[in-house]
Amino acid sequence: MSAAILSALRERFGDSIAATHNYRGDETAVIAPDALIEICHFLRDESPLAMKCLMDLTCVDYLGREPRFEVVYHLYSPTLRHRVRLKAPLTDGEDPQIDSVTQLWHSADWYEREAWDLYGVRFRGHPDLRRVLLYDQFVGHPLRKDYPKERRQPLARRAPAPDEET
Amino acid sequence: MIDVKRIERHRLGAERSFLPSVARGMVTTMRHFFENLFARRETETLRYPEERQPYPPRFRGLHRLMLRDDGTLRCVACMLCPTVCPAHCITVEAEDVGPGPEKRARLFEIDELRCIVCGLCVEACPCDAIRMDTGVHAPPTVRRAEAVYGIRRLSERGGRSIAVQGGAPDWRPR
Amino acid sequence: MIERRTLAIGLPDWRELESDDQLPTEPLRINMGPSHPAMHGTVRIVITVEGETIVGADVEVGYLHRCFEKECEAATWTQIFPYCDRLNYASPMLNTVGYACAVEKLLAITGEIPLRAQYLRVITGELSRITDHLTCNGASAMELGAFTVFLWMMKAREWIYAALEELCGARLTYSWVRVGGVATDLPSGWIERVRRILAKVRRAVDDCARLLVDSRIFRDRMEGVGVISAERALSYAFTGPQLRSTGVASDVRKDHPYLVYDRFDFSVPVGARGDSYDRFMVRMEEMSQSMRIIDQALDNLPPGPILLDDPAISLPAKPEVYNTIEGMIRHFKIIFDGIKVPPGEVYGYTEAANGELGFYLVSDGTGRPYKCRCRGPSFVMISALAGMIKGGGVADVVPTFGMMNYIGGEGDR
Repeated sequence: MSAAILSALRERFGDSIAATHNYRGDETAVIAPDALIEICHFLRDESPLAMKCLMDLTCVDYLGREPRFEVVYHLYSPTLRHRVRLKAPLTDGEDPQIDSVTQLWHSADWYEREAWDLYGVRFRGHPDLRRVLLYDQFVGHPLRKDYPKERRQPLARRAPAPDEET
Repeated sequence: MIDVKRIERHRLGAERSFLPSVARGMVTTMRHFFENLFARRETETLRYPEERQPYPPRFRGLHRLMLRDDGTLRCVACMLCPTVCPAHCITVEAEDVGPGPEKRARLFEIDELRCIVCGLCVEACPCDAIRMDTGVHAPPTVRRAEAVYGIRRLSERGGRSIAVQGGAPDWRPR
Repeated sequence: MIERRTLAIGLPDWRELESDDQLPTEPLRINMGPSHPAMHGTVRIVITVEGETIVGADVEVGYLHRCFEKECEAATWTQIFPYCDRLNYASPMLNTVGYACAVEKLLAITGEIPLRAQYLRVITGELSRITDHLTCNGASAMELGAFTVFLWMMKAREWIYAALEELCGARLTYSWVRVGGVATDLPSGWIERVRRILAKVRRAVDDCARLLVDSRIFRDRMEGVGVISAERALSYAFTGPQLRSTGVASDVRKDHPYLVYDRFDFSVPVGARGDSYDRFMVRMEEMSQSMRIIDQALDNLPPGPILLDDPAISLPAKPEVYNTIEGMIRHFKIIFDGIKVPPGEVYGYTEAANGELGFYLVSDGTGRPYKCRCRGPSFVMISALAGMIKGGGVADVVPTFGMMNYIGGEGDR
């Protein structure tokens, strides 16, 4: 696809765009988290961009790198059929936070709840930030790289079966 | 331009009385009834277990270990199948076979309860030592331990293999 | 004479009330729990009703969360295929095809996949799409009382499952697609059998349509129920039949063609009002279009290899493994190390039965993904359900939820 999106972003938000790339054809911009809301408004409301859909919002845990977390947004315009990926690295260490984009796209609601649930990223301004996939009593954020895959947190403990090793 | 087909929504005319669709429905279902009664075209019911659905040749079922011509296991304990198994249900331990280059499996266990029946172990085996073409499901057991199949139970159905020991001289496709 | 107390402090005695409207009421919270015949994929909806009208709803998912992403981080790229089969379990082939396309995009080998493999992926993918729509429409019809339609659609689905079982060895857990192509070629006679099956499926679907489509009972229950506007649907990132029912003509197969979809002549059905009836009809029509695609693909299926022959990516043929040392080494390296995907990230998307199935893959250069995010279309669409059922009756929850086709496997992952 054309690089018009990235050049429009760079032109308007030069300082907040840390890097851009087009690896395998996916236009990507690494942005400063503080500029997220402005950039998202720009991408959604400007008519040559018209990113009416927030297709995906997820988080990546780069344990051992600083900034550790990166929130990734995939935006799509169904009318103009172009996409862009925004990546916002979070530098808040143990309690990463970023602004919520629920005001702009309804789909952000549950995606942000999922990112909170599984990664522990807090979204400022989210109307109802609670766990969505895991149960409320769950402790920890399991998709973080330092959460061991083998850990079990059963909610209801059962007696072992007669032939089961305890 | 995308080729779009708009869904039509017909105005309900005489249909508002419910009766036309009753008539249409009865005609359709009675047609099925008489077709099944006389032509037996699409009655799918099988009188199990006397009649069974035949499984296709590629059906993935219970594992079996293949044997060499002298009756020993083909398995050389190369560890490819435990590595590739996504469910980690295969346990293999190797032992030396004495003079000669090969090892063999001292212990080969598959926990059929953990197995997800994906067939990656069959794809991985470089000796045609394991197959899932037995055509039966892993039978249910009362105790978990009974579902862990060892060499004896796995090789009960083992037989002639397509892999030729030492390489077939004429394997190249012409 | 029995003394009756007033129901609330400050209100007149019940004998002095002039009409029932003055009776104090409070909304009732009902749990349509995860263990419920109509809540497919185990979803819990806590609805707040006043009388029969829903005034509030809280949709709770996650009962089928099976840690797909975490497991994928510990598995090689090939070991993830059995996991992908279990995402949308009504149309498993589309998930594995989508994942394979995403990995191939990351490897930049999309243009090198053998043509026959691409055709086979399209054929089996469209067969899976038909099974998904049969399941969704059949189950929803059953919940409205049309049990016959359900059984006929399940019978049709069984024929398709038998064809795919003959090809892959299993009815649902295919593990047939591989990075670079597909694992095995067609058994002999498969194409003729599939053509016969499609003729039978077409007849079965036509019979089901004859029973339901213009029936006043069905229309009354589905029309105007669960309405969502196109703008709201886009804001909720709706995709697939749910979005097309609102009037937006958006289909990944047409907008961003992948595999060989650009070679086929097919239409995209689009609704008008965004209600449950439109979603049902869009799915019925999509089944016909899928059958059109399969017919064209079977007619033009090219001969050739089914797997890209690249020593870094795909396993060699078994005779080479048994008989040559190079084949053996290539085989060992790919299985022990996994496919070495260069570091980078990609978002690969395809049109699954429920909408855009996206895989956001991050690779760190090893044989295992650093992150394998599955963007299941159902997850975000079911978040719109709360707004769609407000104002309706409790009985309207059933067709609305049914037609949203929440598949727990891809929603909760």
